[in-house]
Order: sequence, then C-alpha cells, then structure tokens
Amino acid sequence: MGDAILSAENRLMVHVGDFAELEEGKLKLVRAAHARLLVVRIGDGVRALSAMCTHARIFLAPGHLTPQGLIECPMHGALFSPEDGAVRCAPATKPLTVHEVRLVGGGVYVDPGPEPEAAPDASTKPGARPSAAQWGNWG
Amino acid sequence: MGQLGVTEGGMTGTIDIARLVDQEGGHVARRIYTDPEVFEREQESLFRRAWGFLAHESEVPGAGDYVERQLAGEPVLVIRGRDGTVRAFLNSCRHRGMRLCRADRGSASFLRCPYHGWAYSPEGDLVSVFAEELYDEAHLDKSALGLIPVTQLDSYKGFVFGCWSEETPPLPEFLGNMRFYLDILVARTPGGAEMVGPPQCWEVHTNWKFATDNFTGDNFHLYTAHGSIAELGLLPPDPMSLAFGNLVQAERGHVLHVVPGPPIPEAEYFGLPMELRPAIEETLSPQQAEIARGHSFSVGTVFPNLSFMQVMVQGDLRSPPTPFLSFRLWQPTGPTTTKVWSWLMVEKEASPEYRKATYEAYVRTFGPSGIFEQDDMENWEECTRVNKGAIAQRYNLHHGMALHLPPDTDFPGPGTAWPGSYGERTQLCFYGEWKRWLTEEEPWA
Repeated sequence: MGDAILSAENRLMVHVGDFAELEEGKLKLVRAAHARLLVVRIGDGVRALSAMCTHARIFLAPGHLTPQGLIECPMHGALFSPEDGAVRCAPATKPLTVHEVRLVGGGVYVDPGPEPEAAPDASTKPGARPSAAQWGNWG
Repeated sequence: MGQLGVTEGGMTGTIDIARLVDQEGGHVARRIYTDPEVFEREQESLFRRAWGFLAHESEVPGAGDYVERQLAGEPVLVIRGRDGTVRAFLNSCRHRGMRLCRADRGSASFLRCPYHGWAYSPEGDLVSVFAEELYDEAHLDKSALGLIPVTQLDSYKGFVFGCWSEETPPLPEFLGNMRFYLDILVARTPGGAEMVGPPQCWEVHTNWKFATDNFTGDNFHLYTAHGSIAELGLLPPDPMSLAFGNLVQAERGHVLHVVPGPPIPEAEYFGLPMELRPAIEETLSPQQAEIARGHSFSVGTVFPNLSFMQVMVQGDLRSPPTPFLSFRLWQPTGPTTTKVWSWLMVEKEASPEYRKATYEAYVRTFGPSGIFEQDDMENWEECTRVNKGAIAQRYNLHHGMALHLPPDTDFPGPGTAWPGSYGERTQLCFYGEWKRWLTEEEPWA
C-alpha cells in the first residue's frame, strides 16, 4: 500500500482492480466502499459510473456494452453512454453519476462518491422509516 | 433430481413431501403447485384437519339467513338459527345426499330437499319427511337424521371457522398470536368490522399456494408485476419506498407484514378516517395501537388459506390514497385451479362517505375488475402453467431474500419480526407449516 490517493473532492479513492485486467467494451461491476460501480475501459482511459439504474433502482449488470457501445439496463432496457452516463434511451430520464477515476501504477482507483442519503438496504435497519422524498407526489 | 438442498421424489410412486420444501435453504419444489398427489395429500392432511374460514357473522344477520361455503372441498351451509346461534352443516340431505340448498345465499324458514322433499329446520333438525306415514318407527328416527354438523365450529371476532377433525386443538389455540394482529384489523373500534355486501368470487387457473405465497407479505413484486401502475403514478416513485416495516411470523404458519407509508399524519392508522382514530386508540392495547399508528399497509395470511390486505390505494389519478380492508379465501378446487373469494370490510361506525370511498378504492384496484388483481392473476396462472412441466420440475424455486437478517427484537408485537418488508421469511414460514401438516401426525403439537 502506498500513500492514500485522494479524489478532487478529497475522498479516499479505492483500488478496484488493475488496468491490465480490463477488456475494451466490457463492463465490470465493483464495490468501492459504500458504492457499487460499473467500470469500463475506453481506449487508454477508464470510466466509472454508478451501477444503479436511475429509473427503477436495479443494479446494472456486468458484461458487454451493446453493439452501439452503450450500457443497457437488464430490467427495462434503458440505455446510457459509458462516456458520461447520459441517457440514450428511455425509460430512464436521469444520467448515471460519473465517478472520478485515476490510474496509478497500473492500478485503477475510483472515488466512491458521497454517502447516499438512503442506501438500498436502508429499509432493513430495525425501526427505519421511509423519507418523504421517497414518496414523491404520491397522494 | 435435486439441487441446492432439495431432492424431489421420482416421477412415479409416493412423493416424499418432506423433501419438497427446504425451509433453511430457501427452496421449494415446483410440483407442490401442480401435482395431483400433493393435492390429495393437502385435502386429507391439511384441509380436513385445519380450521378453515367459512363466513362472517355479519353475512347472516337474521334468523334463517344462510350462505353456502366450502370446507375441504365439501359444501357447507352456514345458517343462523331462530335462537340466534350460527351453525354449519354439510349441505347434503341425509336421504340421498342431495345438495340441500342450491343458492349462494338467502334466508329460509325451512330447508327442503329438492329431490324427495325432506325438510330441515334452520337449526339442522329433520322436521318433515314426505309420506311419513309409510315409515314405521324402527325405520325412521328423525332425531338421528339431522343435518351433519361441521365437526368443530367456533368464531373469532365474527369470523366463523370450521374444522372437520376432532383432534385439532380449539380455534383460539390454532390462531395463537395471530389474534393480536387480527384485532388490529377487525376489532379496532367498539363495533368492530362487518362485511360489505356479498363476496366477489372467481376461478383462477393457479394453485392456491401461489395466492398465499403472494399474500404472506410479498411487497417486492409491486414494481415489476404492477409496473404499469407505478408508471401511471399510482405507486410512489421510489421502488424502495415500500421496503420498510417488518415481516412477522405471528404464530407458526400465520404471517403478515406491516409497512409504513409516507411520514404524514394522513398515512398513520392505515390511513383510516380521522374521526375513527380516537376509538382505535381506546379499543386497542398500547402495543396494538402503536402498530396501527405507525403503519399504512398490512398484508398477511391466516394459515392455511385466509388472507387479508389492509392497504392505501389510489383508485385513479384524481383520487387521494384511500384505505380498504379485504379478506380473501383461496379455495383449492383442483391441483391447478382455485376459487377466489374476496370480501370488503368496513368499521360499523364508518360514515356513509367513507364507506363509498373505501368501496370505490377496493373495486378499482382489486377483485375481478381491479387493476392490481389482473396483474397478479396473469402471473399466478403463468407460473402454474410453466411449473407443470417435467423439465421445469427438475429445478426448484428460490425463496432466499433477506434471510441473513436477524430478528428485530424491538418490534412491539408478539411472534418473530424481521426488519424490512422486502424478503421471503414469511413465505418460508408458510411453507414450513404446510410441510408439517402434510407430514406430521400432530402438526399442532
């Protein structure tokens, strides 16, 4: 272990694998601290994106990009660009969050991002209650 | 051929029921939903021994009022006598066995057999025989030829249950801690709840256990099975919004979930009208009231096949979320056919406005015309159809969600509660109890 690598937002970046392991066009699902991220090699660079589909809150699957080079959600078929997380096809309307990546000594380091307000498993903490935001305009 | 801890019986011979459910491993063999031999075993070991729901006392309010129901596949007449007592008899004349009463419901001063005219009182006594002067006393003892009573009959808070076995423990013991939770739903005001009108009935090409499986508190099918309803905006936008609360094993196979709604006063007490809430606080115990106050939804099953749903729904985009309470009976009519009975319940103290609102919310979302019900039936019928397959039956079904979580010891109700309402604990409690009844001499022991 060398010195801690800090992200632009001053968070500890997490080693999630080595660049040499990454295949062009192939998505890898990784855990970085509290975050689950999709990591994909594009040419000499690496992108890391939030692995949670912004539509129906399902984890995106590891595997290959579509023939068009996009990330496809296995549940409803939303498409996202691996370059910047932008939505390329409904039903998603919000982009995937892009996480900072650094390549240091052949290793891939990613910024896990801020702790989410409500983790997917927040509902399983005894006594936990849903937030008003989760209910949107219902009712 | 088995996998992951379950080994099924062969294609011929007697099925080893014990191996069809792996409660620890979270697996269930597909043939429990399709096999004629399993169906026969269920009728014999479960439905002819367990307490089964027959009717609610509010369905037969006056002397001579009756409804026809089924208990373990046999027709039963539930009728109120002139003495005010509700009784239940096999709906069969002692002469030739004719189905004595052929209406779903009605009111009668006497029950006269359509075949040869033997007539019975609402209390079940044989009172008149055609051409009675042609029998001598040795060949006609009318006092011994009354209608055949259901072996054990009892009611809990107006719910009349019957049992064909003398050995099964009494109803209060059978229900156990489930009574605590039933009270929160049906005995939360001084007057209690009553059925609204006759039940809706329909036939589904599914095994009854697909219905109970869903009604043990399956909250995590909402955003896929009912995805189109979510997209209309009739469910909250976050698919995890309904994942909170608890899964509860009240007692053995009696299970439910309780789920909080949005953090607003309107969603407390299952969204029931404000004017009923002081009475609820006074009627329930502090622990029961705490559960009512903190939750908007509860779905569960009284083992084996009486389920309930206390939910808030929007009947359409312009209507506010409105609560309703429905009880359903999943009556097996064959290995892959089920007759569904669905009742709406409402507090006797409810205002006419609330009665109308809850009725509309119910019929728009559940029952044969309900938008949710359509989705469920489609899934259960397709599950059943596919699970009949010999190839399909080589592979078991998965019930493994949230099994790693320890019980939530702070939950105020009796039984065992686990945190979160997305999980398959309650399903496995149901299947475990199902297995006990099919394999044990005294499953209640």
